[in-house]
Amino acid sequence: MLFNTALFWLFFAAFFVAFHFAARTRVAKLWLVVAGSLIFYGAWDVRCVPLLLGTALLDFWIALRLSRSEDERRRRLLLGLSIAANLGVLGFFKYARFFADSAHGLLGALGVSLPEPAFSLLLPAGISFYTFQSMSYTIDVYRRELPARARPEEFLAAVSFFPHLVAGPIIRASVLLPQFEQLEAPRWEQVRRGYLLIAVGLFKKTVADLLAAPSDALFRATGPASALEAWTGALAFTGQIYADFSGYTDIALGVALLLGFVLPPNFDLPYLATSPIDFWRRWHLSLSTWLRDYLYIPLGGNRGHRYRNLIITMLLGGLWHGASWTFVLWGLYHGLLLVAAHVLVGRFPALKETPSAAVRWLKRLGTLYLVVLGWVLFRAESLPAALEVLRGMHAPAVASTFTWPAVLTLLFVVAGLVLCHAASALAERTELRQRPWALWPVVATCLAVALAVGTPGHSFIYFQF
Amino acid sequence: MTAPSPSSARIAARTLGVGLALLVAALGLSRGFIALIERTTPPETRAHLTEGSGRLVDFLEALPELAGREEAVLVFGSSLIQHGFSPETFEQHLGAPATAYNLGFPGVDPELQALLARRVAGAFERTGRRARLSLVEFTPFQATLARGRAQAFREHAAVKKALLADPVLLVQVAQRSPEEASHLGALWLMGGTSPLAVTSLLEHRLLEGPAPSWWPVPPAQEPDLERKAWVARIHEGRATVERRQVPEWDPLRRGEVRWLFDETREAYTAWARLRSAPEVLEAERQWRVETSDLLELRFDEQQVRAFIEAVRALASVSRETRVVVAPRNPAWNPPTPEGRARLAAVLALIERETGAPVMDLAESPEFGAEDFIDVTHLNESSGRPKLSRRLAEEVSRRRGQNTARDGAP
Repeated sequence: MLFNTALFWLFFAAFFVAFHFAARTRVAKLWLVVAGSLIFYGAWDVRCVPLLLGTALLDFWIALRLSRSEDERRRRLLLGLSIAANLGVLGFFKYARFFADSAHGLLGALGVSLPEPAFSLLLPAGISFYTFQSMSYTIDVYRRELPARARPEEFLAAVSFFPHLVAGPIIRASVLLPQFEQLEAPRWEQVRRGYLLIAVGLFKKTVADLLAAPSDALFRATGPASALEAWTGALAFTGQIYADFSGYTDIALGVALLLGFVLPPNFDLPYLATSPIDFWRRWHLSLSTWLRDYLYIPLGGNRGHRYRNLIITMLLGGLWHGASWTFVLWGLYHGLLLVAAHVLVGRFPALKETPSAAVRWLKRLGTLYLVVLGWVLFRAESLPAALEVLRGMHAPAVASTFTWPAVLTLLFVVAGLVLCHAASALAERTELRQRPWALWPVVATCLAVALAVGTPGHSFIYFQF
Repeated sequence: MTAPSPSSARIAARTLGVGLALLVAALGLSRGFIALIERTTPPETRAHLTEGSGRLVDFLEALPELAGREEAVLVFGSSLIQHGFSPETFEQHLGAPATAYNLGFPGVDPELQALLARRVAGAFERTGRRARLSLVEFTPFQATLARGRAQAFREHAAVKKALLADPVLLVQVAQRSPEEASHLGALWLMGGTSPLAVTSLLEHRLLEGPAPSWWPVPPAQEPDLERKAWVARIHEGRATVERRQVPEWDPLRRGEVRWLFDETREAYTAWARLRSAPEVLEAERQWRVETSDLLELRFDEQQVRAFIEAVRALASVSRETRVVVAPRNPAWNPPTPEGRARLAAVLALIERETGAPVMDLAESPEFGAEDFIDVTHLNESSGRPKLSRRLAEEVSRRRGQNTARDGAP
C-alpha cells in the first residue's frame, strides 16, 4: 500500500474515522494503531508480518528483562541478544545473497571453483527501518535513558506505526512512546500543517517520477554518454532521490500530524549545504543521528580514532542502504569527504566563515558537485557503470549535441531540482499556514498536479532499503 | 484518555470535511487542466497517446443508437479489427441487407472485451432488439501471460476498464485486488484519463515540437522524421476530404478509421512503404515478442475465460455468433510449433465452451506480407478490403450451407 495510491487514502480515511470517532479509550486506540499498521504492512506481503511482530515482541521482552535486572553481565547479554537478533534478521534477509555472491567471487578469483549461489530470499519491506527503530528501544533501556514499557501495545504501536514503518524517518522509541502515552488530539494548526505536508509530499513525488525518465535513460544506457547526457542524467537522479525520499517523509509527517503525532523532520534543504559536514546535518537526519548516537559515539566518537570512526560509520551507513558494493563505495566516498572536510576546517578555520553570499553560493555549488558525484555511485548498477558515467561527465568519449529537446530536458531537470527545494521551503513557512486564503489554494494545486501528472503506485526509491 | 472530547471530535470532523473539499477542488483543477491539454492537442496525436480510450468514449456515446438498429452486424475485436475491417466493404459483399459496425479497439485484451460485450449486450437488452450477427475476433497475443505483465499495457487497459466499470464490477475487482479496484475508481474520477497519457501529451507538446528559429543547433536526424512528415500529409488530406471534426469512433463510418482517400493515396503509400521497412518490422517483432509473447503464445487462462464470457455475452443478444482469428503476417509473425499447438488448443476450448464456430483465417493463403502495414495489422489499401470481403463471403457461404442443410429432406 503506497502513499501515492487511492487504496492508501481509502485506508487512511477509514483508519482516521475509526481512530478519532470509534476507538474511545487509549488502549483501544493503541491496539487500533497496531492492527491498522499490520494491515498496512501485510498489504505488501502478509508473510512479512510475523517477522515484524517477532522482532518487536522479542525486543519488548528483552527490554522488560533489562529493566528488571541489576546484574550488568546479564544486562549486556540481553542487549547482545537484541542486537544479534535484529542485525541477524537484517543480515539474513538483506545481505545473505550479497555475502554469498561476494564470497563466491572472491573464491573464484583465488582459483576455488564452487557452484554459484542459487538461493533468493524475500526482502521484507522496511526491514532496515523497523529493525533500527526496535533496536534503539533496547539500547535506550539498557542505557537507562528510557523506562521499559510493561504492556506491549504502546511499544508495538510505536514500532509499527504505519506512516513511518516502511521508509522512515527512523523514529526512536524515545520520541514516539511518550506521544503514545499521552495520545493528544491534534490541534487545528497541526491539521493545517499536516495537509500542507501531504500535498507538498505528493507534489514532490510527482516531480521525482518525472525526473526518473532522464535518470533512467542515463543509468540504463549501455553505450558511452556525452557530457550533456551524463550531467542531465546525474542531476535528474540527484533531484529524483531527494524529491522521492523527502516527498515520502513529508507525507508520513503529514499523515501522523492528522492523527495527532509529531514526527521529527528528516531533511533540511540538503542541496543548499555549504560543506559535506553540513550536508549530513541536512540529509536523512534520522539515519545520520541514529548512526551517530548508536555507532559513531560507541566507537569512540571524536575521541581517539575520530577519522577511523567516521569512515566505519559511513561505510556501514552505505551498506545499510543496500546489499551492493556500490552502496559501500558511496558510504566510503562520503566518509572520505567528511574526513577531508574536518581536516581542512582544522587546518584552515577560516573555511568555516562565509564572508559573503557569493562565497556561500560557491560553497553550495561545490558541495552539490561532490554530492552529485556520490549519487552516481549510489545509482549505478556497478562500479564500471558508475565510472563510465563519471567519465561522461568529465572526459566524455562522445561529443554533446545541444539540440533543443536535449537542452530543454536539462533545463527541466534543473527546474525540478529547484522546485523540490522551493516546495520544501514552502512547507516550512509558518506564515503560509496562518493564512488560510493562501494555504488551501496551495494545497489544492499541489494535489491537483499529483492527481493529473503523478504516476499512481510508482514505487518509492527508499522502499528497497 | 477516555472518550474523545467534543472539541477534538469537532477538529476531527472538520479535518475530514476540509480533506473532502480539498479532494473535490484538486479533482476539479486537474480535470480542467487535462481538458485544456486535450483540447489543444491534435486529435490524431491524442488518439495515439491515449491508446484509443477516446475511441471507446465516443463509441459508448453512440451505443444506444446503434443498439436500436435493425440487422446490425457487430464486428468486435482489438486494433486488428479496428484497422482491418471496413463495414462498407463487408456490406457490399454480404449479399443481404445489414448494417455493419467496426467495434475494434486498440489495446483491448479479452478481459476488456468481456466488459465491453456486457455493455453492448445491456444496450441491446434495453432496446429489446438482437443483432443479426456478432463476429468476435480473438487476438492471441492479447491473451498471453506476458501481455498481462507489461506495465504500459496494464495502465492503458486500466483506463479503458475504468471507463467501462460499474459499481458491481468495482466490487468484484475489489474482492480480487483492492489496489486495482481503488485505482480504477480513481481513474473513473479523473474522467478516464490516465496520468500516463497526460505526461505523454505534455512530453509531446514540450519536447517534440520544433526548436525556436533562433536556436543555433539543428535537430538531430530523427529516424522517423520522414514517416512523421507523410503522416502529417495524410492528416491534411483527410481533413480536406472530411471537412468535419472526425470523432475517434466515427458513427458516420460506423467505426471505420479511414486514412486512405484519393487525396491521400500518394502520402499513404509512401508512409506505408516506410512503416513496413524490414528494419522497422524487425524491431517491432522483437518488441511484440518481449511484451506479448507473440510467437510462443503462452496463454493466460483467466484471459481465455474472459474471452469465452465475451462471446457468451454477445451471443445472448445476437441471432448468430462466430469467433474470428484475424490473418497473421506470414513473413513476420509465424508462431513456433508449440505456439501453434497452444493456439489450436485454446480455439478448440473456445468453440467447445461457447458453441460459436471459429473462423480461423490466421494462415489463410490469400493474405501475404504485402497486405500488412506492420507485424500484426492489415493495411488499408489491400488488407482491409480483403478481410472485409472474406468475412462477408464466409458468413454468406456458411449461411448457404445451413440453409441447404435445413432444407434437405
